[in-house]
Amino acid sequence: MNCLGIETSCDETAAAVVRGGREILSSVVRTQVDLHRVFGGVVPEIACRAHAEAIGPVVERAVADAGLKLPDIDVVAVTCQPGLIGALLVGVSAAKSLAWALGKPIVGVDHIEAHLYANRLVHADFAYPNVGLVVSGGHTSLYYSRGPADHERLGATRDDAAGEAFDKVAKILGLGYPGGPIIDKLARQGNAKAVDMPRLDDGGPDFSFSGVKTAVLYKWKGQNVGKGRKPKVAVPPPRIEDLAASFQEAVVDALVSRTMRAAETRGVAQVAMGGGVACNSRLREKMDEASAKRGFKLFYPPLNLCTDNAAMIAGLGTALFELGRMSNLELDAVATR
Amino acid sequence: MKRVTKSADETRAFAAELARTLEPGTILLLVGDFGSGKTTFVQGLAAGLEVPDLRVVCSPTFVMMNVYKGGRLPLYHMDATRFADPREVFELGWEAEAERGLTAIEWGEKVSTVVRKHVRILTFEVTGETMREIGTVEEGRG
Repeated sequence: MNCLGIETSCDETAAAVVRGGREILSSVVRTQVDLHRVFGGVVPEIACRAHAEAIGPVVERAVADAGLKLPDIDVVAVTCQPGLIGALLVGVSAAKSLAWALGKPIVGVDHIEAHLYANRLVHADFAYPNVGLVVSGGHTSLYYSRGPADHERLGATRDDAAGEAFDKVAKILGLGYPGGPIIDKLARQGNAKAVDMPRLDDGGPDFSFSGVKTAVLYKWKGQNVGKGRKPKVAVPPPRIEDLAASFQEAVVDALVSRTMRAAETRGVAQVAMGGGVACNSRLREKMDEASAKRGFKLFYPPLNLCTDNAAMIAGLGTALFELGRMSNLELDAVATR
Repeated sequence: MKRVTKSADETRAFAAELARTLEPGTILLLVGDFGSGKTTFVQGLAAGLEVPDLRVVCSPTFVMMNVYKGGRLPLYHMDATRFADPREVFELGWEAEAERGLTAIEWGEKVSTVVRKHVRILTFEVTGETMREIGTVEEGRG
């Protein structure tokens, strides 16, 4: 069965064809990152317009790259939540039109759950139940998964998403956008123990990153903060590499500790990661170490399936279709769950 | 009016106290740098309105707007930082409901030219590692 997946929840216009829920026949991603770079983040209005322009050619290309024609598509899957509402609507409208014109079923897919499904596309031994961490620019959530479409959310961020914290810290440090890859690279030349960072842990499954972000602001601009409150002895700011490394270490430690604790509590054998921040080299390294130490088998997708893509949408869409969980032409986009 | 808070908890408590006194339709424009306590303040507003699940109150930077229901008033929580044009604030489908709820807009200075009625501006300043100075300015009513 050939499933066409469509993804437009943020700043990537993507389409892909997946056969049998496992085999990626094609995956096309057109990023808008250059359009948004000058603003230091995704601008919804610009994103919508760019999606509307790209969606037709991207879908055509995905079908052609798969060596197929549109009538060979058996089911259409599309991200319907969560994301920027205007951006989601472009994909949902395109998918509904295609499904209607082809007379094929349509399946609405949750973007966050699809990030976890990405592991199933590339790892034959990825199994259930498992504990999965989704970390991206918009989301930081921990799940217990009983199957590809059966997830229980254990915890989430109480303020900033992890990727959002990377973007905001990069902005504070004047490093540019997107912040994740820039900080990852810079941190390799820094000492992660050089700058003290708050490490809040209430023992629960939730995350909080705004405290670490604020600490970076304070350490970086410290002596200039507050009118008329110049300290008697000026404290020099830390080296930017050390600050980046210390910030990253604090975020990574929080992600690893919550994930390991959830996996131990739930007694699973497998742990998974997905989402753009799962590209972070230090997170991979420390999650690898922690999993190996506790005997968990760890899965994460290759870089191009961590960041937003439509293959994961087509994959999870197929699984939902097989479970009979189809949508219809009244499918609507939802910004937050 | 100025209020100095010494911790995030104090910022939340101040916001909660304020939320109990605000009338429906009030729009708070929150003005301050990264880490100055804007999202923390909104967590306090939600607590003051008795929103049942406070864990859902988080940064709206990515999705532009979060809505928290189930409290004394619905709370519309927005982030204007990435609007290309201030009028985009009216495209989030919140305006029609605004008079029955409480609205808090982070990076509110970006929309102050177009959001003018029932507005109060709150400024946030980092004055120490956990210390914040929150100032309020009453704007044109009606």
